[in-house]
Amino acid sequence: MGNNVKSYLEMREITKTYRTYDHAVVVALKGANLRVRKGTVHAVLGENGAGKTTLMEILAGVLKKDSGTIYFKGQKLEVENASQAFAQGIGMVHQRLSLIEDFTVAENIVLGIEPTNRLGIINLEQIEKKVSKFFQESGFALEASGIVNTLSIGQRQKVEIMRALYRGADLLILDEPTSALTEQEVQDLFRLINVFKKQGKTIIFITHKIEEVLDIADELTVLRKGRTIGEGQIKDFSKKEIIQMIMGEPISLRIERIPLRKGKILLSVRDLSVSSNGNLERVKNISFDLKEGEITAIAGVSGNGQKELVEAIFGLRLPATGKILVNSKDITNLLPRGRREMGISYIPEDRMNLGSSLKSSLMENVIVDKYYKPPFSERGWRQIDLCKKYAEKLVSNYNIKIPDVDCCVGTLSGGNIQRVIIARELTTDFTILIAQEPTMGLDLGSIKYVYNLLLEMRNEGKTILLLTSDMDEIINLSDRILVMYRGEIVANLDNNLKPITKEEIGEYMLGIKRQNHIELLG
Amino acid sequence: MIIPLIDSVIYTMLAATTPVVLAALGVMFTNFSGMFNIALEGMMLVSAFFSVFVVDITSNLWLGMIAGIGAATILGLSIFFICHYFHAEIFIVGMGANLIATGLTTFMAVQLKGSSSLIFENVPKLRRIAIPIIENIPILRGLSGHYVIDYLAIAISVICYILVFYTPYGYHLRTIGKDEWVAKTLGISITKHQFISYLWCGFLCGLGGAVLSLPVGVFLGGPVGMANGRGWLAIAVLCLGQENPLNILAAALFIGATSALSDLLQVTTSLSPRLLMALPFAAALIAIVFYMAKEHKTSLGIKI
Repeated sequence: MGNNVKSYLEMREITKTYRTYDHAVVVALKGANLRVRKGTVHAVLGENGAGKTTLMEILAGVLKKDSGTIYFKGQKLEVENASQAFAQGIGMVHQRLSLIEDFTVAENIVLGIEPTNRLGIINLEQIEKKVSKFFQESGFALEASGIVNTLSIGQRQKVEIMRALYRGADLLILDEPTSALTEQEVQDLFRLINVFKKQGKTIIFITHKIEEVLDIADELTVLRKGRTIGEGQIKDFSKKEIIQMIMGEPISLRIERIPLRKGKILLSVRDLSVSSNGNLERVKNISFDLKEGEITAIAGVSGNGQKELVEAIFGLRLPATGKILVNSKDITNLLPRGRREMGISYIPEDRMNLGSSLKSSLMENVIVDKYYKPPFSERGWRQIDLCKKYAEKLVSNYNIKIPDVDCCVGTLSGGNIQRVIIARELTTDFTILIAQEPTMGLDLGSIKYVYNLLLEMRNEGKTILLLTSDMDEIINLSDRILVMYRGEIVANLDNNLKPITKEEIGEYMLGIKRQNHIELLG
Repeated sequence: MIIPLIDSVIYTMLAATTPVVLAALGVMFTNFSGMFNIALEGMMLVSAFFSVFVVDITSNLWLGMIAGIGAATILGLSIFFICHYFHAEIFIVGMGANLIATGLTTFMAVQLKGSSSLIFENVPKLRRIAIPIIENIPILRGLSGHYVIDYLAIAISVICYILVFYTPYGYHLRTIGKDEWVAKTLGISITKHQFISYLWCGFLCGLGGAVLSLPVGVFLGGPVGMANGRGWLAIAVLCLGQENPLNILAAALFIGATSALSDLLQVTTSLSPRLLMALPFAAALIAIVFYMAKEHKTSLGIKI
């Protein structure tokens, strides 16, 4: 075909290898192809570590390809950095949002292309006016002078989308845009995507969620292990076929959950009130118990205090009033390490900052909660060989894709980092697990795997507190569902008595219904 | 009696501030770019040596200043290249640069004149510049009669403030300082900014070194040396001033004030002069402890 390319965007035989600090080689792309037609929503699908993000970051100029060619708008495309990609009309919204938190929205929007006067001086007011006007024209309601760290994740993402458009993007790449959003925010995003499509823009959409693909995409490309293994129109594939292409084998998320007899109380929360950073009361006088062999889900629209609640239970946040008891012992004043020793394990939502140390090796990451205890340390000496063997065991048990346990975790894909965290938190002596978005950003195979693990832990008599924005996950996994609304528990639902429906939970989540005191006791 | 004393304290304070604020602004740029340079002491020392040495040869103060800046910049860029191309650890290389600076200047001084400390008697020296009117007002008098570099240092602080907060360059620099990932996704070159920050650091430390030796026509080598810990004080000043050049100026003035106080007490009291010379360092340490305690105590709301 040569230069005579029909597609709007065509990426051919792209290869990319990473070199880690210790010179191990990770092959991310082994000749991937992508063809995108103008004015379509194109889904890029694949397992964790299939190379989707790498392929898109090459297109957006953030990474350099080893070999292969890219044609865009009929021309060969060579970009050295993200700035040049923007200049060509390619804008990417990364999975890890790239905004400076203490800059204003307007400052973030113009970052990299700041307009100045003749003396080279920036006039912030003028920029804010310009950005406000741009927001109005695109029908986007947000204060241009607001500081980014006061915004929700959904709003921040919109700021990033607006930034790409402000810089003239015709091709918008969204890397797992829905993984951190609430149901409502996802619907907003989809509406926005449809508007862009009507304007003639092209959208590439990376996701794990098949429903979303069927909802919004026109075409799809599936990557597996760095290669393109399928492409075409969405309407030509059934859901089952798509899943099969991604996984290589059929898979179902349905799991068998047999109700257990209720055991003794492991964790009690009594009259707990917690304030946010801005001193707003986020959790109001909450009490509940977690029993052996039970998965308890906390449902709620994000921002209703769930985050503050679990942070208080794990000791990342000091409660204003109230008590937290483990086996009837008061742990309210213990630090996180003390709480871990009381048998609490924690999978945090923010895997990059709270969950792992990206600059440390996998081995260091998996022993960070226990390096000081025997057998990892004996008489004050660390047992490096033993730690290494332990890490290698976790790598094979949890199927983590890493060349060597000394590789730093920052080189792994998002899904693999999640596996590292899950491996660490589950391979320890715990009785209580707090799991916050445990399957966020994982592919179907991994999700199924995590579900089975959680269920196994529950059947062993441990208690699990599950915090997730995925309603199916709540309904599938949990024995009991607590719904939070404006800092209070408004419903205590037993999922074993009769299966709870999404609609039922939704009514409580939105504050339409509320249980009375007796019902709340369960 | 008391008024001339205040005059002289203000004068000493401003004079002591200059080298510290210049070096602190230099390290501020490298801190933004993510390659924190600790070799300020060494860069000031080579500048102090080469500036007075070139003045001795050429009898031209401007050439001397340029030579000092050049020497500091060369040392700074060597640190940058070693770290960038060979992936060396920046603190180790910076430490090495400090040691090399001491060794090199002392060695050259001994080779030239047979002594680690050089006194050039016939070289032109920087002249004090009096500001009309102000030089006759009591108390304000201390602001007048400084060297050109002292006045430049104040102007440079203001220029740096504008640069950091009101120009695209400053935005890009702060972006890199806050989150390199963001810079990368927006196509802001990190390497380019690191290189430029080392040019800045060389220029500013060069000026800071020249202001030590050029007014007196003297170079002091040896293990203590002419920089005499000012490069380390500059790092303390950066800790206090953070990313704002005007705060850095204020913090440097605070250190300058403790130096002036130390000088005053050495003359007026019988306290050990050696002990009093440690006053600015002790003050810097205490200030940082209080500052850190105030800023970071309750980041997670738990008292430890």
